[in-house]
Amino acid sequence: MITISKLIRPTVQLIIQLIVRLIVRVTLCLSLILGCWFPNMAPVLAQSGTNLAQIAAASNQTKRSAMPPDIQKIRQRGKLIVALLNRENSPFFMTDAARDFTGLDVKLAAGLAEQLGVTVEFNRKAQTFDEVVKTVYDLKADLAISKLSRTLNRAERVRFSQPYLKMRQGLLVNRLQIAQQANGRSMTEVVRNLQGKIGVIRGSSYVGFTQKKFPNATVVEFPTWAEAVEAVIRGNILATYRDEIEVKKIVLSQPNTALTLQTIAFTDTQDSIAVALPWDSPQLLAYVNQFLETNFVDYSAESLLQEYPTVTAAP
Amino acid sequence: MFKFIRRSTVLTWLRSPWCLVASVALGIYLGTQHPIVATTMAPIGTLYLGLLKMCVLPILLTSITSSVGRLMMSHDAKQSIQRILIVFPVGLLGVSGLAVIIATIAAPGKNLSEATLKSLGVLVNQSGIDLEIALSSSVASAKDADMSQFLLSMVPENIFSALSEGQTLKVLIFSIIFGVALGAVHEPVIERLFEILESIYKGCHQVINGLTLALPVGLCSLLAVQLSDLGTEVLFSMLSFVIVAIFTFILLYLLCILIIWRQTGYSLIQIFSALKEPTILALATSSSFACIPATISALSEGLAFDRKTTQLVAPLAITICRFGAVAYFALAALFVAQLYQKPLDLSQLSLIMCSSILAGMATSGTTGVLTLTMLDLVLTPLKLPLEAVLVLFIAIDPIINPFRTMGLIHSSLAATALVAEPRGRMVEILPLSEAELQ
Repeated sequence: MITISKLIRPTVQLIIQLIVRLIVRVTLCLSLILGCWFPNMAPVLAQSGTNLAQIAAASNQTKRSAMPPDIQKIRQRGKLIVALLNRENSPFFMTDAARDFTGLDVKLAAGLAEQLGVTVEFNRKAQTFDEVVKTVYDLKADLAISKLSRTLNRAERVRFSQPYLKMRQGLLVNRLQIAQQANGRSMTEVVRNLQGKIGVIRGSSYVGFTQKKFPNATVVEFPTWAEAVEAVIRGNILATYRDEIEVKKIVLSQPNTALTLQTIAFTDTQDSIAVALPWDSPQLLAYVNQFLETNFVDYSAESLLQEYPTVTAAP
Repeated sequence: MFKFIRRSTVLTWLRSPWCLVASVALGIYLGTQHPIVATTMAPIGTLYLGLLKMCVLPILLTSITSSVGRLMMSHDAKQSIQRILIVFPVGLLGVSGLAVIIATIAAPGKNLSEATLKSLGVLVNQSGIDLEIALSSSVASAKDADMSQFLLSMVPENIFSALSEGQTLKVLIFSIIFGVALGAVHEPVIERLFEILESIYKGCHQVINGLTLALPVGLCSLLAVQLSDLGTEVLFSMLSFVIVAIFTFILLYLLCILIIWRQTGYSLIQIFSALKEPTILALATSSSFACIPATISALSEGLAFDRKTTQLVAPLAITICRFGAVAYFALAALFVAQLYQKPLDLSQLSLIMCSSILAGMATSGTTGVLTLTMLDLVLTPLKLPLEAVLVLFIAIDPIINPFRTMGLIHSSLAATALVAEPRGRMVEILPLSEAELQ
């Protein structure tokens, strides 16, 4: 037995030495190859190294703050600052008949603040939706609940929560004009090959959508939504294109136009409305997401209009 | 003896017009004041209507087959067919022309107030006709109403399925063809078949006659249910159109009475009284189909028209000509044009006249809301939209439908009276028919 073990030990040591040498050589070769052939990989590997270092450092820290800085800031201040567009937009933010400031977004903001144990304050300096996003990016508000669409452009600068309202794109069509070009074809066929003038708000994302979805139509840009709608009612243009809620609001708030106007919702489009937060508020983002999930805040255009039946058309 | 007198008194009372007036009044009272009672009474009306409709298909099949067969045999078929070919188209043109003239003069859709438009819009919104369209994905082609489909629907692929599904138009076409074929077989054995058909007809007819005793009860229940269903809100916002439509049908009714009066030589009161049953049935049931037996007996027994011709022409007129729907579509098309402020010239007016005849005839295979969708046949050539207004027409249809059916029944009565001239035996038959009326 002893002789056998005496024989095996040097052999095992030799094998281990060989393996270690091989690993060292292979690693050297690999790093050389990677460094030469894949220069892009180098920083990634370096970063993963630093991340590991950071985690190690953090775990070594003995003192932690009571809560993440983004939440702590709000708690210390005692109020949640919410960016909101400086215009009425029923049913999201509007003054109701009792002269109370209310709406879906206002209620969401108030609910969130209440859950955090602070009061709510609205920052309403922004004149356009993009300015609302900028307010959040500049940290002039903790977050924005202001009927903001989750677009990739905006996502470059801010983070979006999960959507609290999913709606579709809508078309507001002059019934007479569309009957003119129907000639016995079904409505779906006519709409897919829509010809004629389609009104959109100047500079809005719907300019691009129209060109993409209705290549045979002519885009007519209007300074405001109200002017575009007026043109459809008068029959100067065939239709106007915006989100489902704005489109439905017209016939709901002005029922006398329902005979002239037809609302169409496109089932294969989606416009998701979400809360916008600064990119460096990860904890608050998680909090908002969980808040929306816990309270089942997940509206569709229909359920929203059911909850706020007395909508008024936005200016 | 005592018992007999009492029973006959009850029978006389049940058949008297005063009993009908009382049941109508009770129906109106219950329908407007006690809708809950009206709803509980609904099964009685449905039962009555069911019993009435039960015998209509056998009557249709036997009466048309035997009358066509006998007409073919008696060699005066040519004359009847010629008359039908003149009276039906002229009648249809007259009815749609009348409607176009009335709607042009009365202009029910012009200058509607803002408040009216608003309440109409609320109605349209309530129906939730928000259209949902997928921009990509394959298009599911919906079958729309058109004329070729109507022509195809006229010929039954299987007469028994047409009978069991109650497709009147197909049964009618089959009966005519079958009747012509029977008429062409000159063999004595055919006579026996005619006798069988005749006896089936008489049996069903007897059932229908017996049912007239239950008419006051059925009438009361049917009226109460109809009235309790009615939304008054709709009525007020569409008031001008409803009034014009009802006026048109009443005018049509009076015109038809005049035509029949001229054709027969009876006094106007006798005619009113002879036609009382189909009129009341039409108003109470809104079902032209259920009125066919009453129409035949009113003409052949009440007014002594030749039964053979009446048996053929009356169901034919009711099923194919659809005068009521023709007039209504012409009115409705003009109303829509006025609503959308589309000026119409003379050629477009004549287009409405013709297309509403086609659309009206196309309703013969349809029931319910589908009847109204045929309006599309009139509006499409005018490039007017249907969807929004269809909601409004559907909403007011419970009020319009009884009058539309009355218009149809009476126009068909008048058309039949024009085709089937009364035999010169009026004086002989008169006492008999009067006895039957009571």
